[in-house]
Amino acid sequence: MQAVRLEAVSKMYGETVAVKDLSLEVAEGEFLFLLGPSGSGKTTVLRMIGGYEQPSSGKIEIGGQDVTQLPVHQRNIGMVFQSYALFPHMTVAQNVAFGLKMRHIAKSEIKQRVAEALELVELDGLGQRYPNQLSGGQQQRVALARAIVYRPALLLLDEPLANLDRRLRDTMRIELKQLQRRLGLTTIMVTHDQEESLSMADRVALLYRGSLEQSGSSAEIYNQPATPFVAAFIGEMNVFRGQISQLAGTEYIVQADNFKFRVAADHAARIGDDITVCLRAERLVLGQAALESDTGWNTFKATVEFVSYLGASTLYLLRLESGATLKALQTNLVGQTLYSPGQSLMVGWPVASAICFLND
Amino acid sequence: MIKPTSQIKKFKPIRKLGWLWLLTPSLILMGGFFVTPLLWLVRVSLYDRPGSASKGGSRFYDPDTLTFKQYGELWSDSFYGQVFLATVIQALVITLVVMMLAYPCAVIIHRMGARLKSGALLLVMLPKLTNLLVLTYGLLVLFSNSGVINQTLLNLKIIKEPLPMFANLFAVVATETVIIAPYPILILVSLFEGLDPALEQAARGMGANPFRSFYETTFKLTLPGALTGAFITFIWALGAYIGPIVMGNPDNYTVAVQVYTETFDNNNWPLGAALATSNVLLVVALFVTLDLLQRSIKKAARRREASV
Repeated sequence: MQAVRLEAVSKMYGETVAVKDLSLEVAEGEFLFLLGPSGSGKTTVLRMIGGYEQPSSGKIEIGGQDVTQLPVHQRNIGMVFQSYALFPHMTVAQNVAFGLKMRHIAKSEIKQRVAEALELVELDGLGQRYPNQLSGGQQQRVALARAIVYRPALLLLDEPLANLDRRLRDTMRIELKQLQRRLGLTTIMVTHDQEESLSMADRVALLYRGSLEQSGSSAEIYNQPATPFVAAFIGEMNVFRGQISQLAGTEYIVQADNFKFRVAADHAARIGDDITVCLRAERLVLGQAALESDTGWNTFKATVEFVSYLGASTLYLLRLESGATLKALQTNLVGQTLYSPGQSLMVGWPVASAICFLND
Repeated sequence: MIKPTSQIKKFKPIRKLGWLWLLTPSLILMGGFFVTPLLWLVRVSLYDRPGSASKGGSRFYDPDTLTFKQYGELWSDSFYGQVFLATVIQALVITLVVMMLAYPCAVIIHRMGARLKSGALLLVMLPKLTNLLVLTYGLLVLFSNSGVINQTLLNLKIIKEPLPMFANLFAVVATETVIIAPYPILILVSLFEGLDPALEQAARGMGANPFRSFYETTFKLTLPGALTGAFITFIWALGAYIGPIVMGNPDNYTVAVQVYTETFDNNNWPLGAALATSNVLLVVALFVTLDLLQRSIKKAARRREASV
């Protein structure tokens, strides 16, 4: 049985379509990410699962039960808001106790479970503080403790880490993931941060303009993107649009705007077909290594236009002799050659490393 | 979360009392047109009315007599005590009606869409854009026995006798409600607007039904502000004048009306001044009492929450 099932769910705001015919399943204990740019409908989907929005059509099931018509407070969900929405007039302990109180649990048990929940998020001893006496990270933990203390069937997180600074966010990612795994809690988290979703998710559902573009593991989304949008949304990507100008055995020759290159012929295509080729920036090889490789490579002469040093890696903007530009990402290994703007070099990539989409 | 403290800190370098001169215009205004007349009022109340033999020549009071006689009269004549009591009771009724109307009204306005909301707020403000007297006489036309409502109902044969909507407590309370209600409504709407809408949603997510969610978050968080609104309403209602005199009967006459009667109809300025001064003292006393009460309510609420 699936923990959550969305069946052809749509949401209209007047004439505007926010979510279009979305079907999605979340397994018991799974950590699913709803990823997408702003306006992709990901928050609307989360709010519909929580019951804060009514779908215009379609069906939502939680734990096998049709909850489409069920109001929020009867759905047994835990929700963490981007603003945390902690009750400012209640102490941390009262905030955490709220859900238990609503479930008419005995006072002594409430006390014990609140203490346990606070310990779980490493806030033991801060129960008597008021939310405004806590740091952003601590407030975030309270919001989390408050949402899990009554053991909901489903945990919903609406960009919970967006208001934290970078370092704290990295720490919280790991803690959140560990906590989720330890509790075995089915969790759906909304984010626009692709890095966040790749690092934490069991599965990522990528939304674009209210539709599901692809759902799969982080590696699947990254390595086998289903659409050019998915390919371009995650990571640094070179995107070329062109036409197949020649069929050469196991390879096609693609004529882009101003240069020709080879791609692996893994699609049934004919000469003249439009094709979109996506090439990850980190798949490009710079310098001599590009020449020493075997024949299954595209190699070009290029000049460095712009260098962006990122610490662990360096991003180069290259211009080919034909005028085309390429983004190349190089890991900064020990003894790595760093290029500077204006420098000439060779750039190459294995023919098979490009991801191709035949345009309809 | 908004953290205003960080912004306030920026202004610290300015010398501490440098901004005090900004108060000058309001100090001049308050001193000249509020404190001075008030002191003069107190002074008049401490004399006897001018007799025919008065040498001072003042037509307001006899400067040769410094006396507490007026206060003695207020104290000994039970009529005045009844007027005070009636005024306070009437003010309580008005406050209750105004708040029972204003709170739901503010909730509804708060939940409206942006365009509807500005229309509704304009509607709330509309009575304030009308002259007070015109407004009151408009209500008179509406409520009196030969007024629009009664005549319509009589013509439609829904009622046989005119409904008693005039020259009684109902008429006074209705009129004062129309006059006062915009203030607490505006206060409450701005209170609601200041709350994170996710608070109520969070409560619902944790299993509270819509009513409980509202009560536990919005209501509790706006309660101190709502009490302030009720308090302003009460002070306003204590000074009610136009409602009672136009729409009421002598039983509804407030201290304010009595001040007018003593001063201008009976030409007894010192007694009128003593009544007015007593009214001010009553308001101050109530102000202090209610403020203390409000504080203790807040404290008790905190304690109650803390015992969870």
